[in-house]
Amino acid sequence: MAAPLLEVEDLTVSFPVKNGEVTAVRGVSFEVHRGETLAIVGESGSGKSVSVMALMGLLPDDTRIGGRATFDGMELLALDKKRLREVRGRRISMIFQDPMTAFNPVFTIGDQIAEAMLVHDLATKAEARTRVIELLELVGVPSPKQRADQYPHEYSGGMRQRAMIAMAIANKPDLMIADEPTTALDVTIQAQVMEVLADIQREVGAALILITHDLGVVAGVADRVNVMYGGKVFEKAETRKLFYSSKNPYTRGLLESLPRLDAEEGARLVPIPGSPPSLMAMPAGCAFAPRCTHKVDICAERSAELIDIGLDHQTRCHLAHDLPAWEPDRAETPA
Amino acid sequence: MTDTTVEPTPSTPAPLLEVDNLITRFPIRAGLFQRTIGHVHAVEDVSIHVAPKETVGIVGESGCGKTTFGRSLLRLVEPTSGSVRFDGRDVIAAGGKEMKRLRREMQIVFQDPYASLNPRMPVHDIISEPLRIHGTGKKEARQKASDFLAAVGLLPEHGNRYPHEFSGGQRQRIGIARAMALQPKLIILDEPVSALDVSIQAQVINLLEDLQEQFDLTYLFIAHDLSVVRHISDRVVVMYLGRLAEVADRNAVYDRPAHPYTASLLSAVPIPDPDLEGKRQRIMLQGDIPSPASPPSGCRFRTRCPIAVERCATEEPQLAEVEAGHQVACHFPLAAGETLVERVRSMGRTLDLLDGRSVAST
Repeated sequence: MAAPLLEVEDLTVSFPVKNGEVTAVRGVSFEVHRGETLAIVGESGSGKSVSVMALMGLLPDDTRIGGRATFDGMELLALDKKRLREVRGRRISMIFQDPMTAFNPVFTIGDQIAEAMLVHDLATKAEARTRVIELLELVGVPSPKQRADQYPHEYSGGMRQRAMIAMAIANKPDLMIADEPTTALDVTIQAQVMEVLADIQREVGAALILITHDLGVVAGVADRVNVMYGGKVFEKAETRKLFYSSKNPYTRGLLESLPRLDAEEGARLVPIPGSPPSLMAMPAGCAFAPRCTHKVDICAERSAELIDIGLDHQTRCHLAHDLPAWEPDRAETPA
Repeated sequence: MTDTTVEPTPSTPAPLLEVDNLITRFPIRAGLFQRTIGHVHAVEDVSIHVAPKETVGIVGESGCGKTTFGRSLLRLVEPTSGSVRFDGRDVIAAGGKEMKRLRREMQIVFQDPYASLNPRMPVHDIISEPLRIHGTGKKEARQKASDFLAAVGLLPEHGNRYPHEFSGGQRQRIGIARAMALQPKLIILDEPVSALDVSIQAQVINLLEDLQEQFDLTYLFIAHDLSVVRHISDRVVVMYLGRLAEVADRNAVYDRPAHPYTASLLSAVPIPDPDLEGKRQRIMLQGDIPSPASPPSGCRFRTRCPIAVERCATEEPQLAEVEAGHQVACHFPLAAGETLVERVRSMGRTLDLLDGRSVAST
């Protein structure tokens, strides 16, 4: 296999707090290949957003970041601010959850998308203007010429998110990072935006890191999935393997706890007991052990290593080889 | 207080809640003298009857009026017109004292467990406050608060802590305990799990089901998550821009949606099953939801509807039965078993599907 576009090794992120520091990301390794969609799934506090924010240099200056991240041969974490800015927005772009706060309210959408190009000297003003209109059209913003001159508040949530995607692809990046891009949107609008994102990604040929808590969205678009819990990657697999033959109690629990649109009638939900751990009080051993129905003595003592359990499939569980057989819900007929 | 004696009619008990032709509009004010220049049509002519111990799910996207509808029932916002009867009593005409009595029996749980609990009150006081307001003695209120704390799965010692010491799921349990404290008959649940982590949602849903069983509760479950609504509801109401689009038993709505909006909405929900997602024909609705301040003429859904024709722009469809207990507000409802994709094809139109392909006209 070709060298990955992005390779993250043993990333750690700690924030200073009143009495010391909290560690939000504790040794995360993953890789993204050109053109693929990697989903990073996890609940609040799992470290899924913080880990990519760290790579992009978007965390406060007093954050302590460890580990390595190689992007197309460059050491991302070693870059100075100026070099990092060159990479950010040009080679790697970001799409945030809340498009209202991601845009500057006092500039037009068109000017803000153009700025993404101008700041990297990738176009003249006139070229940028033409390109903005093309881009808005590409992401499905109606009457792009007029819309380019409007301000963010004149856009609906779905349209703003399309405009953000237009900005993200303006410089034909190699990697797009989308952090919960559709969470704030209604379900019919969410479907439109995910479709635009997937189409555009195919067209531009960029890789996509999709950070989300929505396993339904993951099932539809991801090539591979990383499941995070308590600041660590708990399972990494090709999408079908994760959904149909997970080797991790947390992943299984998550999939089983979901109410499904096509569920059997009257079936009771199977929740995961307890709550995700607090960063301030991380359990000593496996972070999931206090909630795990399979736990044994060793789980409370030390965290398991991420081990290979099959082709393109890794899991972090002491019992990886001894977990009971698992038969997830699977629909037979298409809806 | 009236007692919950079982009605003699075994098949259809008298409804606990009867909402008829409810309209709630908000004035839009502008200018120097804040003159009313228009209205937001939040809830337009909504009628729903809810039986005791039933769970009715209300679904729809933002701006569909589902939250305003819930609040109108408790008169947390005053309805513009229409009738709401609870247990045979007129809610709209009720004066201050009567309303206070009614609110003992009709409670609400809000979406955001971070904003709906007073941060300066220990949990015991939060849960017992409604009891105290309604005249229960201090000691008894405290005892009851402990009982309900236990009923929602929290420990006795949690009573002395403050909201910030709890996780989101635990806070929502506290909100539910507070709503339960007065032993209401009806609880309006406004997006009770949408702010919670996935692994916690199932805990709270199961808790709600247990409490309903234990205390004979009636639920109005307002949510945008169609999977959750399917799981918990007996009947489902689909709203679009303030109006009812479809009302039916849960299975009818999900298995044979008759309104093109319901069909599109269901089709837009992603299912966590990669093989299924690979072959589903998911319909992509065009455009945005129009503003409820200036809803489209005729059928409100027509601007996004793939099967709309001229009549839809001129004539507003009324809610009509397509089968027993299954009502739809559409001039051209889908037949049982007919999919929206088939209908669009039969009309010779094209339709955008979510896998990027477009259905060619036949």
